[in-house]
Amino acid sequence: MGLPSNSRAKAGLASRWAGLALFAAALAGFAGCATKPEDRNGPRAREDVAEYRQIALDAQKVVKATLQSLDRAAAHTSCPPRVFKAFTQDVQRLEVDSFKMRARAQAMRARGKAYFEQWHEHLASLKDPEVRKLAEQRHDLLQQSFSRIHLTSQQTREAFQPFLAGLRRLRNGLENDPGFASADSAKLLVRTTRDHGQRVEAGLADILEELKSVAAALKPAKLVTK
Amino acid sequence: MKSNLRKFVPPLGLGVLVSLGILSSGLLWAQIPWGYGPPPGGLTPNTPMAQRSALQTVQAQVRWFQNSTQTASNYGDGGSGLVWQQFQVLRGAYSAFKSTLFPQQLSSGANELAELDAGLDILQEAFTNYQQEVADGQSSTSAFNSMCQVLYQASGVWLQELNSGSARLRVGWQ
Repeated sequence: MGLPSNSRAKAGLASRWAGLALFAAALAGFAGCATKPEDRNGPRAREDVAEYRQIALDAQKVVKATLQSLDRAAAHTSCPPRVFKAFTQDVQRLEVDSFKMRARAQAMRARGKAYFEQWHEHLASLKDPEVRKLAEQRHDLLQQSFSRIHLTSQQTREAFQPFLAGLRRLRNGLENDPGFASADSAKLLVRTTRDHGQRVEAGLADILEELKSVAAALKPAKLVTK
Repeated sequence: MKSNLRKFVPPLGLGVLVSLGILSSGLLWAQIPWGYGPPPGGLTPNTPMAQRSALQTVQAQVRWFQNSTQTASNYGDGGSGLVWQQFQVLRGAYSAFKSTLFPQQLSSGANELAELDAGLDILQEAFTNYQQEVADGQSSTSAFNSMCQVLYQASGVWLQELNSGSARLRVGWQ
């Protein structure tokens, strides 16, 4: 006729505990799904180093092309319309393609140290635990690199303004007079504009080199060793 | 002994109720529309819907601005004034958009927002350059066309930055 009353009571107690334990386990599972708002809906960190590298590469490419175009335009005693048109387009492309680079450099100047503190914060929130650990271990090394990137970006930005201004003046001069660049008064302008452009080019190369060393510092050892 | 044990066994119904209470409060917190704390006071509502609306206004204003750079030459001498006016409206729309962001978005996106601010300053420099070129004797038509082409393309780059930054900052997310 079934269990004695004592056994039934024990079985009932055990099943109640088991049910509660199951429910608690399910609850823990659900609680894991219901993440806090800043985790689920919060802002995502961006890949600062990789993005800035791409922007610097794009700027480097367009600066190089513009310097070549400047040399071509200045090489003629009377600049042919085809060369002038190409030069005009290259100057315009430089203004557009360097836009992100200039905006970043200006933002770095405006935010100062806080700009790179956010880079550290983004590194600390990376998904890869190994990279996160490396970022923490090499904090001082990265800080030094970020300081150099900051400084070089400002120097590059400062050289960029007279470079662009010189190019505009040359473009305007050539538009009014195709022989403008060969005039003695314009030769100095061509030279200084080229100098500023080369300084921008060198600055971008330095930034890229520094970003490369940052990327290397964050690369886990197992990926670099054979 | 048995009766002592029974004392510590919570009634199953009460356990379920308490557990559901804990669970539902966690879920509710995750669904609070303003997400990151109480909505700050002020005239601008900080809600995801307000963010989406403000973002759409900026996006539309970039297109209006780009349109003005394409058509302004038809307005003769008043063309530059028209482009300038549209640019100022864009600045205002962007400023209104920023005021809808949550503190966490402002903090986490401080670099991106500084870059967008700088981008607008760089766009504004084009107007100064145009005035300088005209003052230096450059044909105003040529200088104006050149400025408009640069503004058209550069504002497109700025818009891309705004869109990618907004996606990263989860602007308008519930």
